[in-house]
Amino acid sequence: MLRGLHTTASAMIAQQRRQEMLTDNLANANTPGFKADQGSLRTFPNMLIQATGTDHSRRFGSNHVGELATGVYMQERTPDFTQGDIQETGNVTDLALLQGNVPVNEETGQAATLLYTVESDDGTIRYTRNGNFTVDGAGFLTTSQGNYVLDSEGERINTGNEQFTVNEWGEILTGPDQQPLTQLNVAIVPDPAQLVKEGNGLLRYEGEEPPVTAVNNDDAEYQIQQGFIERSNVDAARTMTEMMATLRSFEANQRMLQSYDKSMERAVNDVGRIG
Amino acid sequence: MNQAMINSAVTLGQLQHKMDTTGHNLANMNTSGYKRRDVSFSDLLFQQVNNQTSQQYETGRQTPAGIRTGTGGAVAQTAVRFEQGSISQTGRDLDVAITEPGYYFELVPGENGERRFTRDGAFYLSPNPNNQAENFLVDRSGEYIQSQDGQPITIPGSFRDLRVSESGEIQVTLNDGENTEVTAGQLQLVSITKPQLLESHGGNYYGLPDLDELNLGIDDVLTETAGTQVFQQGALEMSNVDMAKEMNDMLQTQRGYQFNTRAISITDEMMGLVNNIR
Repeated sequence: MLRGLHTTASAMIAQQRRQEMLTDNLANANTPGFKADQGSLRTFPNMLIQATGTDHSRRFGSNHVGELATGVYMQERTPDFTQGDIQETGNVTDLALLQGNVPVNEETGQAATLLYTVESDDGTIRYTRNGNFTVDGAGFLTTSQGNYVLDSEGERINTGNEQFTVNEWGEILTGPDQQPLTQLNVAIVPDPAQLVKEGNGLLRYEGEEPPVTAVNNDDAEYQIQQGFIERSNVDAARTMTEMMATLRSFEANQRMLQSYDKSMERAVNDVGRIG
Repeated sequence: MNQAMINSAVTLGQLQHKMDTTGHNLANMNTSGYKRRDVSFSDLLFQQVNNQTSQQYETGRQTPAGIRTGTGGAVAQTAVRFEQGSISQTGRDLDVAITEPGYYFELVPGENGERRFTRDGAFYLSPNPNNQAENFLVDRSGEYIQSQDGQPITIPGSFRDLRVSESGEIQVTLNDGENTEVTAGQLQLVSITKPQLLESHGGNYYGLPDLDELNLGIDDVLTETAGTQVFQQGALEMSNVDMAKEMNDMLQTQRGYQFNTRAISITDEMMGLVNNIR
């Protein structure tokens, strides 16, 4: 059958996947700490076309016609870990994490990223950049979804109430005389591409090199701002533009599909017609 | 349905919740003692799609295998913000403002015995049907204001002057020809140490949740602090809604809504194209 039919169909599916990604980015334009996904499309593995039953090999010395790719698919969605805008909220439980200089992988040029550590429902460690925290009924500092925020010892943080101060390196001070309670943990994740989004603002790390703490670590600079949140880094205007381009690409492929269909129509109805 | 459409549709509904809260805040801009609510968003579940299972073909890939598709955004919490509202001078003797955050007046429990708190200090007098010589101190809805000893506060029926001290002691000068001064009562005051536990009960009241379920005692949540110098007579605490902030939120929500509806129509156009292949 016509190979191009599958090529255009696969392109339509790939563009639909892109649209899914873009709508998800747009949906989270108001989610604090959200990192926009970027999609990469990749061509299917090439195949080698061989001529059979012709005199191709006599004329060209081989049966090989050449390589052909049969379409495209969406290979991966990579979150973009650039810093989002900082917005003042005035709430003591909002903590924005500002990333300064971080270690860069010399081989890939990929910069590490700084994240808060939180406890997932099953007790394992997750990471988040959403600093819109809250204090739960028992006095623990949690994310807005109720996951415990961890300190540099890996323990839950009990501030007791909402009267606490966080200084710029993440030390939590409580009480009338501002006694240090504990130190909020900030992790250096060496390979951010290995972070998998799990929903509820949580990221799971699947990399081999374990994250280390940025607390008292000269490798990474950071600053914590109390009363501020880091906004989503989704650019609505850019997302909208990409969406329009996606639609047009989808449309162009649909037209291609139709013209392939026309060719087939001719093959079915006109080839072999007499008179 | 197309996942792209679900993403946008879910988010539209959630943005509407945000708009509801903003609308509620704006509606209560002039409610004395009202505390605003803040809406914050979070991303929803992610599902894994294994679109290419042969790893050897995935050259140049940086992320773990498969692609993760999100399902939109949703309201994560609507937290009450308890910061102090501005104090407005009214000059009315029965208006009492609390000048520091974290403190509440307590009302006499209603029929079901629940404790209720409010920041609204606009009080009135209501005659005691059993005793013509005294009035109850009540709030806007006619609920009794509690005194330090847990009883409704009563004010003598005939007086010429009523003063509320900074510590909440109510003193009246009787209209008996001799200007006798009597202490009518002491306003109850509670300090709530875990304000996010408070439940809004409407009517400007807050109540407590089922504390046993949370393994908390009453002492973990509030302390009775009657006598603390936080009262100001002749003034009311206004709502802490900041109109400029709410309007800004509203505009942003509306634009977010527009972006998502536009995304739906683009996805719809794509589905229409599929329909028109033949």
